[in-house]
Amino acid sequence: MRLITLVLGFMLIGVWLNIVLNNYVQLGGLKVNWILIFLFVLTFRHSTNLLPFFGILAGLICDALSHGIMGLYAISFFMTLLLARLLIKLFYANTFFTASLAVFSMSLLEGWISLLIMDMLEADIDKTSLMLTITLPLSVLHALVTPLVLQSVIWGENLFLRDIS
Amino acid sequence: MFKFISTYRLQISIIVTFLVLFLLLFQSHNEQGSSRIQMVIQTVTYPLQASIHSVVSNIKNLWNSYIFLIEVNQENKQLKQQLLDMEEKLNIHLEDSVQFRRLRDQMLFARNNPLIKIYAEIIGESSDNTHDIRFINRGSNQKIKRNYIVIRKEGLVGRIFSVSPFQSSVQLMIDHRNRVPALIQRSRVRGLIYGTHEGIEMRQINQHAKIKIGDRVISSGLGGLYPKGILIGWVSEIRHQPHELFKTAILESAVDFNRIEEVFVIIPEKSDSDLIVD
Repeated sequence: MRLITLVLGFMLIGVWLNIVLNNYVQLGGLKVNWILIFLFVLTFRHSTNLLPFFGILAGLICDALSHGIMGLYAISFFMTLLLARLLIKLFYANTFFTASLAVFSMSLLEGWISLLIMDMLEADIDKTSLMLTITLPLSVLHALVTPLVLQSVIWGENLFLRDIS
Repeated sequence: MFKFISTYRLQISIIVTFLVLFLLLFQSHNEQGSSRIQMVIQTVTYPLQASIHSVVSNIKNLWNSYIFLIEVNQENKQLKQQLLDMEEKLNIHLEDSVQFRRLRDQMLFARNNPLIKIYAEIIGESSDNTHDIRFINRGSNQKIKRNYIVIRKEGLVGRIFSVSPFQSSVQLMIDHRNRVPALIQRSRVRGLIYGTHEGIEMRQINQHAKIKIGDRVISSGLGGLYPKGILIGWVSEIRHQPHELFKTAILESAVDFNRIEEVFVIIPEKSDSDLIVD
């Protein structure tokens, strides 16, 4: 229950950052998807099957706050988090570097999945171009801010989950 | 002789002293108005006097300066605060001035334009990187509906993409899903405006059409969604390969999409079918 509260709390922070911070701070014209990074980091740190389902909720929020095609990010977030859940042991993302690496590769995958879905729904999508100009730099950006997110997640865990861990 | 001196040494000393004093009293003055003795004394005593004066004056100045500096420091703080207040006021006035000019232009445009419009402010933008959506603070509560056109004084901004009670999302012209029937104002050549995320392009222009850089591009009104005659931009580059059936014109958009803060949503006039229903 505490973990759910923690995840919801971080999702709320992620949504707030997506709405407010992204309007004013865009590194290289790119908007960091904070909510996704929070979910990746939480998935790497907690072996619970609930997180991919929280990903659906986060994806729906992102859908509503961007293009309005409900379900696009919900599917891509769910698929990626499900895969991340399966690959926890492979990444062992408990250091800043490995966490960044894991988030980078997962962000890349998420971007690719969302572009594939977008290609099915929208006309004239240049996937290669979008992958190179948006998804790849955005994944690098996600990797760069991951230590910050990881640190805040650790801080949150120490605050809320200390006595049950 | 020695006996005499030793007997009357006091008297002799007094007389000699008097003599010396009288000599001093009647000695001649030089051109600068001071006697030689005076000059010697002054020269000898100058370093000592000067150094003492210097030290004393320095201490005096330091003390005065310290006391004075406390006041200056307080005054400086007050002045700095006043300066900050003035800068803040100036900034507010400048911002008010800029906002006033911007809004006056937009309001004059709204007043002079016969179309019915709703004023709206941009309150947010798409949280993803692949779609160009802006959120405005007007929704279905203000009678806004999907596909209503959004404009500014400069030109066409986009269309309402989705509506909720209090806010709506606007699909900008540069969104890659955007398509607007358009024509070159000078030559009346038709084409279709595509958003490319970085800007806008006019595609499907007849390969024999005569277009040139700087031509104004306006909405053609075809399809009925966008009203005719709204400025979209200017031709900045023309692309055409010999094997291609159509020309493509890269447009410089009339609206700077990175700087829009307020827009107008056009409320369409009631169609015949609406009148019948009413």
